[in-house]
Amino acid sequence: MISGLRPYRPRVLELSSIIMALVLVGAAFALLAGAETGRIGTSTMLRLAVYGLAALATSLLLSRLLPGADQLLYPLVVLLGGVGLVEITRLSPSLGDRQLLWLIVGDAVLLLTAVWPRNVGWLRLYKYTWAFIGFALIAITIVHGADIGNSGYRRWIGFHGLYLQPVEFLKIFMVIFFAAYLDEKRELLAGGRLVLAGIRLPPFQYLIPLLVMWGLSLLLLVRQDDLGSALLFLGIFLAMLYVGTSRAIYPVLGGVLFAMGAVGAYFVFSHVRLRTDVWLNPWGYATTGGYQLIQGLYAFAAGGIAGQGLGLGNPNLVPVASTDFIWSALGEELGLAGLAALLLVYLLLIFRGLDIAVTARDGFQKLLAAGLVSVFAIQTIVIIGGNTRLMPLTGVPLPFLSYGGSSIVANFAILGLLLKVSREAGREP
Amino acid sequence: MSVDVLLFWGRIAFLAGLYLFILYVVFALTRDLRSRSMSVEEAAPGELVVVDPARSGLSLNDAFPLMSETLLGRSPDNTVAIPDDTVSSRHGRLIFSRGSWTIEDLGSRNGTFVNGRRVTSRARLNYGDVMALGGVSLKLVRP
Repeated sequence: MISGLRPYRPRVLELSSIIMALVLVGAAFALLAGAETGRIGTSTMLRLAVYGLAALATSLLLSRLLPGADQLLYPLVVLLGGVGLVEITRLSPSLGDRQLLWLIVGDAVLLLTAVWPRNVGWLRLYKYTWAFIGFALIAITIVHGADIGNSGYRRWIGFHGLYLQPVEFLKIFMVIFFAAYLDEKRELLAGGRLVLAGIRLPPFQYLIPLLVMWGLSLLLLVRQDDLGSALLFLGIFLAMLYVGTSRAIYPVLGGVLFAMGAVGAYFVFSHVRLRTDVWLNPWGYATTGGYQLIQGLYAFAAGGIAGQGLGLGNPNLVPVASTDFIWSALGEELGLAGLAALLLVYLLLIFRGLDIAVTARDGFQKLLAAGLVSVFAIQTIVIIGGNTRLMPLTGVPLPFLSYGGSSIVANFAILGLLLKVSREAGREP
Repeated sequence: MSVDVLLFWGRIAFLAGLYLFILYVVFALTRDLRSRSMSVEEAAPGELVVVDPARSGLSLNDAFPLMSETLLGRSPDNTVAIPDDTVSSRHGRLIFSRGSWTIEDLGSRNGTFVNGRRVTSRARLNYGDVMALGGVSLKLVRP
């Protein structure tokens, strides 16, 4: 398991998997160019070369910076990022070029995370600092934020023409805080001497900070009408509580509380009511709130089993296809077969991440890895479920596939932390 | 061949390639899992010999074979179970990694000591070192 670790060993498995992923991304670019112009132009070659070289360079630098870290996570991300890049370029070439830039920034952030902090354990020392920074970001957004796209809510922070979505970074800070806090209080939380309605609960004072953090995040997010993120935070919170205490009562109780809250929100907030009604009967709102969802469903139908082919469908009929509805766009052009493959890639990513959590060296790192993986898992479920009408639509980005600078950067930082945890566990490959 | 036919076969090849990639990753993943599960169960080079049983149910010179990850504590589900009141139920963990032994204290009540010095989180353990868990002393020896 741990013996025979030689530093600076080339990451053969990672490099070979990345080359395979890049061949696929290159094929996707070629198919797109072929469908659009009948030949492969220089712009296509240039995009592929830039993306490929960035990925290969990142892998080579990782073998210097994080020898012995996991070698399968990054290739999976290279594939997801590349397929997303092709589809976004297909929807809007200028947006695609910006996504390419963000992916390179993401690689840089991944390498930065590899260097700093030097060890993951350092993060736990400043747990309240991270929680404070996270909430400061949200508070600044509410007061001074910008409203892009006239949604009626301020969700971005503007900085010299560059706009950031602080929610994306808040989730990382929250996971670090929860991991540090839960690891410290795990025994107390798992023990439980207070009995309430036949359920053993831990002494109440140990639950207060957790409930405050959770309540604050929910409050801030409901105020921002960002239900997707609220759902994400609740999911992360419950998943980590379960991992930390191995008591099923927490997720069950949390789920029941959330269901009650959701029913309450349905009657209190009109936007929640509208969203639910659109979900249950989109055809009743075909020209208004349900338009996007219905176009998305038609896109899946048009895709069929093997898809229309990259560049051959009409995914631009779905409004904002590059962010919230990238899954529908991919469904139209790659078909069920392509979506199933991509879903398998997510499954492997999450499985591997949980495996890293299991083998992590201490409780904090286990909780950290499990929490970070649940960020990917829950976001994937929430947005794919929303696109396919499995659950009400809430706009969260699909990790690594959707367009979005903040989301890409934050997800690469998460990837970096996962690699560090796997490195410190001293496992191979 | 016309562009359309080329694009059709290209699309099928791309989808097949996606699944090939997945198979490749799954293969690497299972290979890794299998090699790790084998090495966890592997016996590691070393034995723990009781040098001071205190009031536990153990007797002097009892020897325990070690795994590359060995759990020590009072409760019977530990790899090395020490039925003594001064030992916590999950007291510590011995890890064999890169050719050397490490003892990790898992937040025990009465502490873990190596050659009389308290272990705050983890400490290196050499052959011949005497380790005290609560009142019980054990010595790490080569098998």
